[in-house]
Amino acid sequence: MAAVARLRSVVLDCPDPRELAVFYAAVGGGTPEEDGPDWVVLQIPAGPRLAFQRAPGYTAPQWPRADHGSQQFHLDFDAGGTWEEVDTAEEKVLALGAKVLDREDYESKDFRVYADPAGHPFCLCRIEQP
Amino acid sequence: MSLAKVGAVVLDCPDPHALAGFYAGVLGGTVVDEEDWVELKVPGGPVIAFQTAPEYVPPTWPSPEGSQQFHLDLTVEDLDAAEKEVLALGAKPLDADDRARTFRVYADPVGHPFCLCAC
Repeated sequence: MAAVARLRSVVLDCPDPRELAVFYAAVGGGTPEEDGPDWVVLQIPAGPRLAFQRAPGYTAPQWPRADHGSQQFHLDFDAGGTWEEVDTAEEKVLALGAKVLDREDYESKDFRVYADPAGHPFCLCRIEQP
Repeated sequence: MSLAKVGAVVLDCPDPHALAGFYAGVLGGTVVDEEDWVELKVPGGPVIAFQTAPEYVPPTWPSPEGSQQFHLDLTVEDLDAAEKEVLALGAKPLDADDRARTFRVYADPVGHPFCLCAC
């Protein structure tokens, strides 16, 4: 089937686009580019184009719950093939302002869940490297 | 150097297979089906994954209390032609009345906002 459209950006609502773009640049790479006060773009090298949009009255998603505070969307990050690599990544995201949401049974699940500084859940996953 | 790579953009939904079918209709690609987790692999783009969220309630938009939180921007050549196709696939217009603007906003079949952009 012919595609109707191409994916341009994954857009995150947040209270401060610049601040959240700097966080994800430190996690995933790339350089935030401001396109006005309400919209900052972060092209992840060899990855998707993320955009950060100012949302007045922003309320962080709550997790885990599936009603009005559902996370709705989240980003999964490949943090490496070993738990040592995931530990290193965890140390860095916490230093950048992330918070732990779920570290239970991570070895059987192969991921841990965090909240970014605006409260969006994201995962650091252990992914077998090719 | 980055400390991680983006592995997937994951959407909560009540029926991962159904929503993956919608986005495969929009973006093309291959659907890989597991029980509560379905992946859509589109060449040259990130994996888009669909996850069962029990008692899922769609986001409300626009609403400061019900922020959309995340959305996808999708590039098209022809807004009118693409609109016709996404509506046929089950999308609903949210903010599509301004025909002169370079983007229009729709809800996917379970209510996540997305934009068609001619830019």
